[in-house]
Amino acid sequence: MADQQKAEVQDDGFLSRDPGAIALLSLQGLCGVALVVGVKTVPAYYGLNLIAHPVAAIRCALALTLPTVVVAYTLLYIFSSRPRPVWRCIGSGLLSLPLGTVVIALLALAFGAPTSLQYASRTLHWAFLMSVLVVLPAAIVLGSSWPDWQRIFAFTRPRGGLERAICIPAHGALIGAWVGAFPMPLDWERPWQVAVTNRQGISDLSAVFAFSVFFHFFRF
Amino acid sequence: MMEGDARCRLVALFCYILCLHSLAIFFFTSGFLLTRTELPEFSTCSDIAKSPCFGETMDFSGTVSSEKVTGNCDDIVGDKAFCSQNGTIPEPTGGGGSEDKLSKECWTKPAIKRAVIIIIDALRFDFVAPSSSFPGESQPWMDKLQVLQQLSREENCSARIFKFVADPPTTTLQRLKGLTTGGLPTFVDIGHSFGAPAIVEDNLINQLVRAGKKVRMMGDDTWMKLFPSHFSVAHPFDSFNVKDLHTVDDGVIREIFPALLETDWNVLIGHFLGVDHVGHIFGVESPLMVEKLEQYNRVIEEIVAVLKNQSGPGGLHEDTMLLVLGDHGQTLNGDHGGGTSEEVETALFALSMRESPGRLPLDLQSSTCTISTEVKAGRSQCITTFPQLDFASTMAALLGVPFPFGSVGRVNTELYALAASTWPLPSEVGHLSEALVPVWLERFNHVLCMNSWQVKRYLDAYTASSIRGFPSAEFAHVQSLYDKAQTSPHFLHTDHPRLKRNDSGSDLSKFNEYSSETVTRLIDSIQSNLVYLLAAADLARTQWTQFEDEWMVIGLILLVTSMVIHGVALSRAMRLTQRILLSEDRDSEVQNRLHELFPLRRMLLACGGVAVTAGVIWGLQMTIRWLKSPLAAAISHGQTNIIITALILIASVVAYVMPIYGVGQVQSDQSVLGRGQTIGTSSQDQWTCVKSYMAVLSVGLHACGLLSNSYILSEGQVVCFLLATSGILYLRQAIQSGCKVPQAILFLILNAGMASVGLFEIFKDPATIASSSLIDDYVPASYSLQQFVTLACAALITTVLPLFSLARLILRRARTILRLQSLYWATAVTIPLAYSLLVIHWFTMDLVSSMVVEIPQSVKEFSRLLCPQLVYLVSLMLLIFTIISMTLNARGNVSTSYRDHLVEGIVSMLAGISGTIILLLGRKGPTIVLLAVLEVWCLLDLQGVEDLNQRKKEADKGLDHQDEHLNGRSLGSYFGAAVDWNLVAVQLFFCTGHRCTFDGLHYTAAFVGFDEFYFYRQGALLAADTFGSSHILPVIGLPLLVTAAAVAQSNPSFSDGSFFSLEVAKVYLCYGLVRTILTAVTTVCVTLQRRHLMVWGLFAPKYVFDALGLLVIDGFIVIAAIFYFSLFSRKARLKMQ
Repeated sequence: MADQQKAEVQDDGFLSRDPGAIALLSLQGLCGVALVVGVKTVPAYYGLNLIAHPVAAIRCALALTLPTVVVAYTLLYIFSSRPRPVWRCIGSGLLSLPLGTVVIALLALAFGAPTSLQYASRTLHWAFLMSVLVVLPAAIVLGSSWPDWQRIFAFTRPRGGLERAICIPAHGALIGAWVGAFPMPLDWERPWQVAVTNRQGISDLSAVFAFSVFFHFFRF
Repeated sequence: MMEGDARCRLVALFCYILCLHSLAIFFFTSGFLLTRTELPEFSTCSDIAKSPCFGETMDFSGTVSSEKVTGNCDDIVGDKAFCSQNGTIPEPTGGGGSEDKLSKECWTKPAIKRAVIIIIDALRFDFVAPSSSFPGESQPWMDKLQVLQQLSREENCSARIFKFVADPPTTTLQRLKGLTTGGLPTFVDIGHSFGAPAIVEDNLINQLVRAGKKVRMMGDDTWMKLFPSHFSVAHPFDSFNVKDLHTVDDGVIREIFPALLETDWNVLIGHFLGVDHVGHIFGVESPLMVEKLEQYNRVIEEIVAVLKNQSGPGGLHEDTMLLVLGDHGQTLNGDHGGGTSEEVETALFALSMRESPGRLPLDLQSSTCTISTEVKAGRSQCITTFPQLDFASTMAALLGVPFPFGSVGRVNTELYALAASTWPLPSEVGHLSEALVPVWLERFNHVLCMNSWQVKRYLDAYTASSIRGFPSAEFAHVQSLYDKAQTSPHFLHTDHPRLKRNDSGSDLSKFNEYSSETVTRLIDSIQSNLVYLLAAADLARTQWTQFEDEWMVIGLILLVTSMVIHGVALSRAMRLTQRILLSEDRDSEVQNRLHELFPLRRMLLACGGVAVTAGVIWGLQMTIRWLKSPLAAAISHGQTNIIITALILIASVVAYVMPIYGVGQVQSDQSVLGRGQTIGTSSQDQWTCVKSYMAVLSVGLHACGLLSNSYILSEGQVVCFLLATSGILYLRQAIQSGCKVPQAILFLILNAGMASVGLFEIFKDPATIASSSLIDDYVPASYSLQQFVTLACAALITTVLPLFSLARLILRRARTILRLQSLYWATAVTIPLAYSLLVIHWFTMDLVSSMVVEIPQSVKEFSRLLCPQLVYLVSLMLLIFTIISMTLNARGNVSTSYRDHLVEGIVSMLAGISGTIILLLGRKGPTIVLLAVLEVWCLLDLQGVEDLNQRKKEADKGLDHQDEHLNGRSLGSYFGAAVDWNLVAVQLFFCTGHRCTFDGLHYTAAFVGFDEFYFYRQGALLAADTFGSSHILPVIGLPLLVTAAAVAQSNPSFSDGSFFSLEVAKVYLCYGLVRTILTAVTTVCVTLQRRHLMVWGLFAPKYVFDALGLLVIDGFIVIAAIFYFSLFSRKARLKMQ
């Protein structure tokens, strides 16, 4: 890869090599494909769907997405040659998952997810998938540096291609989930409601996917 | 001077908006909400003497002697056997039954002794009618009620299927009301009942009971709500649980078969709910529906078998009629409520146990017969349309009771003919079967005559007493039809004296005298009566079921224009603020600007001009009658004063919006604006931008949601979602600025807490739990004690703790906020007093209901009635004291700033009201109020974050930020804050357990502390419970947003009174704008969806709540503005001295 060696001098003086557009795009695309296949294709193969069997479908998605995301972002991190050993990256990423799950599940509750225990498993599964998409990449690349996290999630000011590759999909997933949650109260009894949301099958997850992909292609 | 003028103009502006809104809502409501006045009159037996149907010789009063009645009877129908009905055993000749007759007979002669009415809820027409009569494929749910089809095919003269057409709203309660009263229940029936749906109008069941007939009921408990004390025996089953498919049906089946064999009833009503529930949950296409229908098929088969067994001569069911009917249809999804053909078309099956001997003449059949189909058997079958409106009259005629007073239906020809007893007995006619028809026609004509008279009497009475009578032109037309029907030759017994005394001659000679000419005249008379009745029903239907689109459009236009007024007023206020801040001399220019805030003179001129012009045109039109242009006709036809009012309003709006500037003013205006603009853009933060976009988006999403009925149902969650979004933005902002992060997180948590506060089981009223479990079955004392302990703990956690912390919070803050000593002490005394009274009240109620400890009667009464009354009194006193001391005592604290003064007033007022509000909200009250107070505190605290952030950023950039803050707060940030405020208010409405439906009103709250019912007092309490926490408190507290901003910006201009009142006005305008937008969108949605299924179930109540809420808010904005502005002006005057 020719672009791999291209270095960028950031305004804080930190020298980092960007992995390059092609690598970013291809690995991002891989994550996206893994998500789609995991959410739609594989469950469909086993006769499941997201509405009827949310937990099983999300498990399918996780089985594909989690390794893909870990591998993709670790590779990206390696390409950008940051000064941390790879095992620490993966370790911090995996450690961040439970924490991220809890935080995102709490957020979901704040947004009105049902509080009864009956739905707890679904909420947790969803939160785990979201944290794979949102928290895991950031944890792998950024480690535990609070200013970096703050810069990306509070100020939305990523520096360089790699940070963009964290920031944009994460925001895409969050906004996608937000957008996908809004039509939930619809009862699908009128034609326009079905048209608006492209059949009942759309839920927050497919919206997550749509937005992630959209942002990828928009940016790179 | 200037300041006082500005305040007057602002108050005038709010008044103007209130006026505009109330007129808009008045116009829309009178076009949309169909109202009908319930008349309290009842039909009685003796009434009929006043009708012309008996001729001038008749004196049919209740005190008439038995001989006279007998003679009367003979005169009219000439048939003794028919006359003497309804004894225990029918007598072939009217021998000794005169006493019996006197007590039982009324307007018509009973044709059937007993009726079995099986109601199948949500019975679609295609469940019953043969599938061959529908185009297309036969669906799985068709032809499942085989027994009905078979009977109607095989026994053509005694069984029939009718297409039974309901009138919207097609909900069970309204339909049962319509079926029994023969009227058209509308959305708002103005009556004398408060909350209870019991029918106060005259109705079939009431007439049956008055006539001494026994009515048995089993099934849907809606009947019990409508007729709480009418049934001799009732087996109601809960209809509330839609998911329960079988309980009601099984109960009915269990009860109905023994009842069929008993003798102590005349009308038996069995109401099955299964089809409705299956439809609601699984839809029509589900296999469960087929199962249900097959079950009904079996049940009806068995019922028919039982009835037929007993239907021999002298048998129990000799003169019984079986009716199987639906109250309304349903769509394929199982919805109903609207007016689509699927919902209104249901079926009526009638089976007479005795075959009627004759056939109707074709003239009468063809007039109503619409669908004619070839059935497999090869015999043509006719399915007649039968409006549900006619059910009450027809059943009253058949059962021989007076027609309900308010019925506008007509006796159905074919159902009446189906009952064998309406025909002369074959033994009398002998072999002359052709004479059957004339006799029947004469009887039917007589019945119709009474029917017409009864309908006319009702229409006259309604026109005389209702709020909105019938349109005069149409009413006159209908009256002329009645006169025509009456003048047509229907007094056959006076025209043809030979028919009069027919009982003396032989039957043969009598019937020979019916010439074909007489038959034609009879049919003519019947037809003209039918025409009249049809026209009367149509008149009633247009009055009670059709919207008046023009009125709705006028209302909508006014609402939208009021939004424009809000916007223009806001932008003018913004410009005025800039001018005050920028121009050193505050003289003439500012004065001009001030006028622009509410240009009273200009608007009065415009209104006066339009009014005079309209008056002149109208006067011309009135005086010069020959001016017959179409326009004049339209004006004279329509409601002139309404058109003129609307024109005047629109003229005032135009006058308000159109600015009239001099040239010099425009230039200076632009220059100032230019300066303002530069300042505005330089200080325009990215955050403010994002926040205002988010605010617009959030209002937009909220408004879009109102289009869908499911969103309206879950509006509480939608609001929580939007509020959480806003909370996330605050959190982001807080993290950026590095401060107030805990507040933002707390805001999110409180938001979730508010949303779920209604879900917890623990918040259910302990009293109801205790009473229900203790009264239902015997509970051992030890268990009861244990239960009591847990209840006490629950009560402690849910009520006392929040109440205590709330009081602590208030008192602690009061020490710093309330600088006026008297006010502080008043609050410090009254709040603990009110709260402890609350605790005493609740605890004693719990103790009483749990019956663990014996409580003396006096203590019980004290805590039940006196405590709440004391709380109301204390609240009111604190409120009045606050207002008086704030307005009078401003002298005492000239030193305090406007801000502190404002906060002082708001806090003590809110504290005063809190006691009443908590009491009315019930035991959830303390928790909710505590959460809400904390949430609002977070929200207010977070308002300052953006300014802090901005200042920090400017400090980073090394900018001199002295200039920027002159701008006051930008419109965007006020709008954003107002949107959040509104979301909190709406959330409060929902989390306090309110819903936008009328059965969601907390009627019990109206009786906290009072036993007797007084309309105004209880109405005020109910209004305070419904709107208090979600509409009134937010309006009173809204200026806190200004004070929060004033804290954040240590702005010198905030020490200026007129500036401060302008800011307060801006906040109120923003809040009013948000509410107006939402109400306008609701109104538009209601207009668009006025043919929707759920229009009466969801959209209309939502509209009513929103519209009322808007008016409440507008009214309180005016009151609050007057109060706050008077505070400022008094203070300003003091400072000047």
